[in-house]
Amino acid sequence: MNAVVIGIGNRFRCDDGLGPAVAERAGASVRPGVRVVPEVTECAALLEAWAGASLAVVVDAAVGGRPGRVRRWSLDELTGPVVLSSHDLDLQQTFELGRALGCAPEKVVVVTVGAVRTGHGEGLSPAVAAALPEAVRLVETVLAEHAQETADQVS
Amino acid sequence: MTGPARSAPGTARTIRVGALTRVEGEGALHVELRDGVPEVVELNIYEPPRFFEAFLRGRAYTEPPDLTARICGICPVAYQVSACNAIESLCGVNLDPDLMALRRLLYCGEWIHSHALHIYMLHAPDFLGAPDIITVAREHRREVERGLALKKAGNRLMELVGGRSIHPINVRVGGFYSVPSRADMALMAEQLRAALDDALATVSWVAGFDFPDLRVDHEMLALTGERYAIEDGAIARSAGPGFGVDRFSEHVRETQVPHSTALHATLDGRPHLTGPLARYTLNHHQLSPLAREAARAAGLGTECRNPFRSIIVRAVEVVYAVEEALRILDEYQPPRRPFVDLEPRAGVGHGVSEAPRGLLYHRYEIDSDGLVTGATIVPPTSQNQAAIEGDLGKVVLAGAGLDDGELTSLCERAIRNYDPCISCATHFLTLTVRRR
Repeated sequence: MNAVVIGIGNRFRCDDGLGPAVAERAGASVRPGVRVVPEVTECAALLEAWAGASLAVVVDAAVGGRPGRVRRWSLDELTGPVVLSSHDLDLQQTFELGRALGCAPEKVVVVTVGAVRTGHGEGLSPAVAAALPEAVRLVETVLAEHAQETADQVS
Repeated sequence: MTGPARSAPGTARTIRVGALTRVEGEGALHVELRDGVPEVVELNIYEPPRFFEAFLRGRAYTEPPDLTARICGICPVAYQVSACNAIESLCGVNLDPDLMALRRLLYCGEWIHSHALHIYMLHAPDFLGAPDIITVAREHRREVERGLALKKAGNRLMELVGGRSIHPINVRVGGFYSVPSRADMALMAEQLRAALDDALATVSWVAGFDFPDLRVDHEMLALTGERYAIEDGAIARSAGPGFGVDRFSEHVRETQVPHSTALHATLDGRPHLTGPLARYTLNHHQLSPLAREAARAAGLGTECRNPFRSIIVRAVEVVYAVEEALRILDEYQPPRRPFVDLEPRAGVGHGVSEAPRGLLYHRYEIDSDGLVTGATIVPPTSQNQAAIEGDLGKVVLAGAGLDDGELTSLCERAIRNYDPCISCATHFLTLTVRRR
């Protein structure tokens, strides 16, 4: 398995730090063949982070949903752009650019947690902090599924 | 994106662009033509005002570099440096030469990163008939990889000196909070040497593009110094002698126009240009021999007055910035102190530097308690707006025979020539063309 867990966000923007927090926790018990890149905020760094991976699990805070709600998405299921930076390509565009450059992962799974506040400041809202274990478990489930799929293909 | 198809000659014609793409921030363009002649050309910057100048009041004299850096995620160093220059000037402090060199190094990182972003991701698609960088990458993979590598080199330089590439945290009035080790700088130099080849290849690549004919006669405004001006300098202009930084507001006046949330600035009442074209035209003799040779081989003369060719000038400036960075890295000895301590002084301070998009002016009034009582920030995009509208008038006149889609595309290209940063200026595009 060659997977990467990527945290999208900025820990100095309150709940936007959710992605880095989940990626770090998932990284604490990381399995062989899994890399963790905890804090990505722009497309060039994302291209570099997932280059060569068979699976990229991208964790990000979601604005507009129920606070603390943990959800799993494929890139195709995302109806709006996942903004990395107001000055940059979004997640879907970065994936397309990666494909054109031959460095996109084979599969992308996006894990989101509903955010409460994303203004300046440190620390997660209680509802978001409470959802961290569930988000970490979901990341681990996605990784385990991918490990099984990879093993099945080999056998 | 576009409005009605081209109407018959002699009638009103309207074209609309709701939101300009591949520019920083939000803006629109409104053009009205009667019998093929543009009557109204307005760049509508509708990004909300950001009130930086207002909320700086009451803050400590140490805070403007960190606060104003937030005006832009692409050129935060420009804001930090112009702010530092203004406050240090007011406090009567000159930075140690090695700290000035470190500041210039950080700024080189921003030039490399910002110019590479604009050349490859925002501007090159215009010359390759592509809607975006993704389409360009499918046909020009090696070139796009090169652009990303250059951008990354600039980012790494900013991380090393500034602590991080977006909104650096290591800059303070008087210098830096900490300075890099020699070993880290030597490692950075090794990483940057490959970027010089990438930069030279970029000049050759963009020199091969087709450039529409356009010559602009706007006056040019740029800093000039002992070296090709980046982090500081004296104000120079193409028509006459320059003026002191403290007299900037007497010459460059900002006015509110109804169609834009960004102020328009003029130089002695007339549109002027700041940015790569101005810097190259006024200071090309100060480029390094390698950058000058790259410019000559790319077909640039002693001045550049075709905004479409600004992409070549940016590429030449990347060559220069990489060389400058390597020079500073190779000569680096850790400064004996990371910053010069300074006490606040009541009065007015003025500071300038060459942001990637042009001359950036800051003015601060500080009271005896060291608190800011007044702030004025004049970014390059505000200064270039009137010139952009002037260029658009010429482009629309020359392209009046084009259908609306083609004319819209040409207008957007004319705007992107300036790499406008709308976020900075509101601190800007939707195109509407009306033909009568």
